[in-house]
Amino acid sequence: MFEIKEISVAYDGRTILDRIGMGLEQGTFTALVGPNGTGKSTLLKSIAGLIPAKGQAALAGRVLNQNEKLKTVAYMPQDTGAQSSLTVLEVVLLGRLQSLGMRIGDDIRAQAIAALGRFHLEALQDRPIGAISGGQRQLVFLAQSLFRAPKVLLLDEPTAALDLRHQLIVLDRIRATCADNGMIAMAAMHDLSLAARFADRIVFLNGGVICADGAPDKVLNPEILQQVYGVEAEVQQGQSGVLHVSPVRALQGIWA
Amino acid sequence: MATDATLAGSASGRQMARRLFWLVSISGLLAVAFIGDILTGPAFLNVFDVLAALVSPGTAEDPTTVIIVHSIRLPMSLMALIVGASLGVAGAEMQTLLGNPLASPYTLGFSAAAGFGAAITILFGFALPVIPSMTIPVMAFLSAGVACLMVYGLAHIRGITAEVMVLAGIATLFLFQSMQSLVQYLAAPEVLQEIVFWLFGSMLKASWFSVMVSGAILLIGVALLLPDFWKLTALRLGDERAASLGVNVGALRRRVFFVVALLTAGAVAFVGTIGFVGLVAPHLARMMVGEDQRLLIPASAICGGLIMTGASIASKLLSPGAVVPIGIVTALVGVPFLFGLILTGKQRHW
Ligand SMILES: Nc1ncnc2c1ncn2[C@@H]1O[C@H](COP(=O)(O)OP(=O)(O)OP(=O)(O)O)[C@@H](O)[C@H]1O
Ligand SMILES: [Mg+2]
Repeated sequence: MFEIKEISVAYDGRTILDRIGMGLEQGTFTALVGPNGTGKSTLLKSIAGLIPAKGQAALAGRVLNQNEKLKTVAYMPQDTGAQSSLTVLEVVLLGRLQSLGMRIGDDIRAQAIAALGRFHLEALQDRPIGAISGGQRQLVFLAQSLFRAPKVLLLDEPTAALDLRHQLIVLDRIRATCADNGMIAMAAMHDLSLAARFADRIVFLNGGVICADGAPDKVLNPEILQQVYGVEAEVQQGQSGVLHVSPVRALQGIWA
Repeated sequence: MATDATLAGSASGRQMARRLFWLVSISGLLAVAFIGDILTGPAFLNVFDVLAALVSPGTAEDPTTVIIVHSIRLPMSLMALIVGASLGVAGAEMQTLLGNPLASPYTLGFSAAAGFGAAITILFGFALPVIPSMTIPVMAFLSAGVACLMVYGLAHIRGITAEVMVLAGIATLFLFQSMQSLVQYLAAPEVLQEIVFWLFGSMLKASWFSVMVSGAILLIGVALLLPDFWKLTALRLGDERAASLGVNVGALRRRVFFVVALLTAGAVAFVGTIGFVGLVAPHLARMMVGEDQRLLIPASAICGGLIMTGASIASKLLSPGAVVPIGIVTALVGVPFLFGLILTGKQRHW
């Protein structure tokens, strides 16, 4: 169980997050959703200890200090830009930079290549990270995050740059890693249908607080979507039993 | 240096082999250039006598040659090598720290400060009690230390980011440059000439003592960087990504900043300011071996040493019988190198 308690963040005196708390079960995958600028990235970064925040994070009942946060919680940034000539394989290896020494063992290297292999990127391993496509870069950073094998993985819009097939491959992979290794994952997402299909739980963030939280079929309904996003939307059950969200139109009013 | 087998882990075999090949090639080139540097000089010595003096000074026929080689040429050549290597390493880390390809060891004003320290010492003509001959190097070193503390203090208050460091550094650079100009303006013509000569940078100021001090600083500096190699490599992905990989970016910047200041001051305090090497050597190295600091740092040191050694040879050949200050010719030697690599290189990312 990974618990966050009373997380508050303010930028220049403006409160972005107001005493956010939740518990994430071992081996589960949670989708964090909400409008642009509502504080999803801010929440993930503050949990990972990357920005100053009030509040605590605890793993298995033990409160993590700053150093432990950096070690146990991995955050994958939203921005996929990288103007570096580091090679793809070097970038993946950096996922375990704490344990890399002057020599790199064949086993670690093989594992890094295997991590690339899960997304079929072995052929790119010697290319500079700045000289591949945006979606390929996102896959490389995902491979890096999984290679790191953290206890808690926080992903900021992990599928934003990916095509349909890769969206499925990536989310499948993340969910499988949670199930197989007991990893706890939370991803900020905008695609609610994908969230419904892959996440065990969806957390709606809006106005600095959590306004809905639960299994996809409990929380995905037109009322909540209207309340959070200011849209009229249809929620239907597809043939496979998975919920589909189709936005119809943006409502005029307090959201505009 | 690690062996081929241990390094082959970083990238796929063939690429690592190519990078190691570059490293070995430039090392060989450096060894040849170093010998060439010792063989050239204003006293037209016989090549075989010089080699004999180097290999077995006891049995050499001509004692003058032995003296010239051992007390003049060897320290000058070694100093060129050490200064080049120090500036190469300092430049590579400055570019990494500031995330900027245009950064060099001089960007944050350390060398301007060293120049000011030397200039003011020459102007007032005072001498340290126990070691009068070391007055100028000591003052240059201390002055660079003051500049380092100024930049550090400003950055510490405002947060150690690349932007704050560049701003604080450029302010420091201009401050010391204008104070240096003021000293030059106030100086009498003979004194001014002496100041200008110091500022040019010349290996004629080298001695065995300077070789030992600067050499020790180079070794200590590189040893201090060793534990941070992977963190510095990660910093090339940007502050946020490095932090998300568990790097304490602020603490890393702080540590490496002091090492860069130390290396730069160690390089310029004895021989004066030498431009261009610290900017270009890391780029040459990066084009050959990439961003992995385990290779980039040795390669930057070797490229810096190579440019300086080449410049040292050129400075002795340019005007027969005299030695042109090496600081004037470093660019003449480095630019053809750089053009060659720009024209043949494939990588677009610095
Ligand atoms: N460095 C910063 N300084 C000041 N304000 C910031 C900073 N970063 C973000 N903000 C503000 O904090 C709020 C939350 O930003 P955040 O990036 O967490 O949103 P988000 O939910 O991730 O949005 P998106 O869906 O667009 O990624 C926004 O109003 C944003 O303008
Ligand atoms: Mg965001």
